Amino acid sequence: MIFWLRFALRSCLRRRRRTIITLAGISFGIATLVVLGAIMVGVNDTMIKNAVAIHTGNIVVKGEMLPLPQALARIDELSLKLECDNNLQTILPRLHFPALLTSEQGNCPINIVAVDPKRETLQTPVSKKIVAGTYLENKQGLVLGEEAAQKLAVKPGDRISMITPRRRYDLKISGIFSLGIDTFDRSMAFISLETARTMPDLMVNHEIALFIQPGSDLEKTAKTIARKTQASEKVRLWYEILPEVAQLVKLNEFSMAIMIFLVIIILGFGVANALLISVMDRYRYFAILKAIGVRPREIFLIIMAEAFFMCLAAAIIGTILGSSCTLIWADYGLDLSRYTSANPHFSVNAIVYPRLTPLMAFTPQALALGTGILAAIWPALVAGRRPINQVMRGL
Amino acid sequence: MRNIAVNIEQLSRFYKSGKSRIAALDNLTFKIKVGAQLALIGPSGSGKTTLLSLLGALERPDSGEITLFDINLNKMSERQTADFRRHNVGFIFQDDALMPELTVAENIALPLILIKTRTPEIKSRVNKILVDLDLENFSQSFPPTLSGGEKQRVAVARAVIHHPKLLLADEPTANLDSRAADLVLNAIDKLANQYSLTMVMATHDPRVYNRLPQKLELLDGKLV
Repeated sequence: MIFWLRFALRSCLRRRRRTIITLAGISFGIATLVVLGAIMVGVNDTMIKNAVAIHTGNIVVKGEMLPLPQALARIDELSLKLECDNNLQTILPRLHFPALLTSEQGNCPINIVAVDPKRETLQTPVSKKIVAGTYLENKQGLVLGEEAAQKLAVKPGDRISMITPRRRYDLKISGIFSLGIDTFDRSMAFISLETARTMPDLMVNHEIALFIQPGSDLEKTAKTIARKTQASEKVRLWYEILPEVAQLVKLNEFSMAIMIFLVIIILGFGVANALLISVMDRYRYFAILKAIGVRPREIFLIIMAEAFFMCLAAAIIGTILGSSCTLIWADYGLDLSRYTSANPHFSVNAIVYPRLTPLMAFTPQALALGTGILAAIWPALVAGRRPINQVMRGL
Repeated sequence: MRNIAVNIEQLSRFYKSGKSRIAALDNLTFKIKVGAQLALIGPSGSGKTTLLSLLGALERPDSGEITLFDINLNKMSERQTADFRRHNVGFIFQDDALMPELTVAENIALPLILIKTRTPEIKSRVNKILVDLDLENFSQSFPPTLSGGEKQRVAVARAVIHHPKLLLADEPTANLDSRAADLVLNAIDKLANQYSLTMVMATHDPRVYNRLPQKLELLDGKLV
């Protein structure tokens, strides 16, 4: 067995041109799949990152509607409990309530979110998407979306009325943001928690958005958090709140799986073709081996081993090539803004950083190796079963 | 039957050529004694290569019986014929028919590897035969770097290294000049005598068949 494996390896090395061409084809296919897989993972990462940054964090704890003082006490208490969890990177306490903004020019129903501006700046994109004024500077004022500002015909520095079911408040506009997402730019406004504290008669929903440390187990972390919450509070994961993003991620993965399947099938035919030509070129060679006493099974083994060695070498070369390209590219990123300017999932950040995951880095070569070996069965059978006497006359 | 190496009974082999059937061998019956060295002569198309192929169990007859050293080849499976060849038959083809990816020493060792000879024994036998055939300087060379005569001497060494009972040679000097042909024939003579091989050599070259004690002449698939 070892002799035949060595024999097959020598045969690959001896027929350099054929081996190099076959190797180059398979390696290039594998490298392409590794790079495309890494881009797909990067696209998903960017989509998820954008979505969770704008909406929810990776995990969100949603509470029932409470009077503002109780809600403030609850988010302070819960934040304190969660701060000791090492899997959490950022904790963003928030309060939500509906209101009507009115100016001299008109009015606009809006969802007000009271936030901690300092913490929000670390993770969410609103502070970076200010198109006029400033983002809750000194924890004062109100930041609203560009479309709402246009509807109300207001600009930073103007004063505006915020009408809640119980009272009317007068606020100064601190800044205007544009996230490029209609629902946000039209119907969201932010104030600081400090400002909210001055409105004790509000009824608010409290929530805490949580960003986990990279590499932490999302579901496990969510379970740990759930143990620290009250029965009336719900712990939800980003993909439960944003099923459309989760579906897009699945769709991307499915598309990639189809592409891998097609490339591997083409690669399989390529290997079968290269080996069959090689076998047909060597009918005489195999006839000599059989005349010496080599069994058909051993001839079969030689061809299978040749396919194995070529596909293994191609898998290694392809992985190194694909991984190197990905790692170099991962530093610079791939700016897709030209193709995603109207896509809300890329409105915050359209730069994709290709990322290698073990699954995407090793699936193509494992499949290529398996397919290459399967593709070699037919040429190997042809070589093993070819009658010697047809070739003997040429010897 | 102990002293009979080859026993052929009413052997026939036909080939199809379009709609007609051509008899490559037609009802041959003969015996070859153990240790005999026989020239198989006849013009091109007389059936020499077909007979060698049948004797070497490379193909099967359409009718008749082939018995080599009391073993009937007709009843063997493909695997059994392969095993029979690896133990009992040595082939020398018209051209060298060496494996280009193996060194000279490895080419010669191939039949011994097939019959699972121990490595020290392989080394010892290969070294001896390399010296016997004046090839010791080429042991680590690859076949494409050798001349035609050198390649054919390596092929001779490979054919006899495992001490087969039957050596079959098909025009072994056809592609060589007379000097190289002499060297190859001397090598075959030397080793066939050294190992007391039964040998059948197909040729139509008088310089070759005149060196052999017995002749078997074929014409249109029949013995003359």
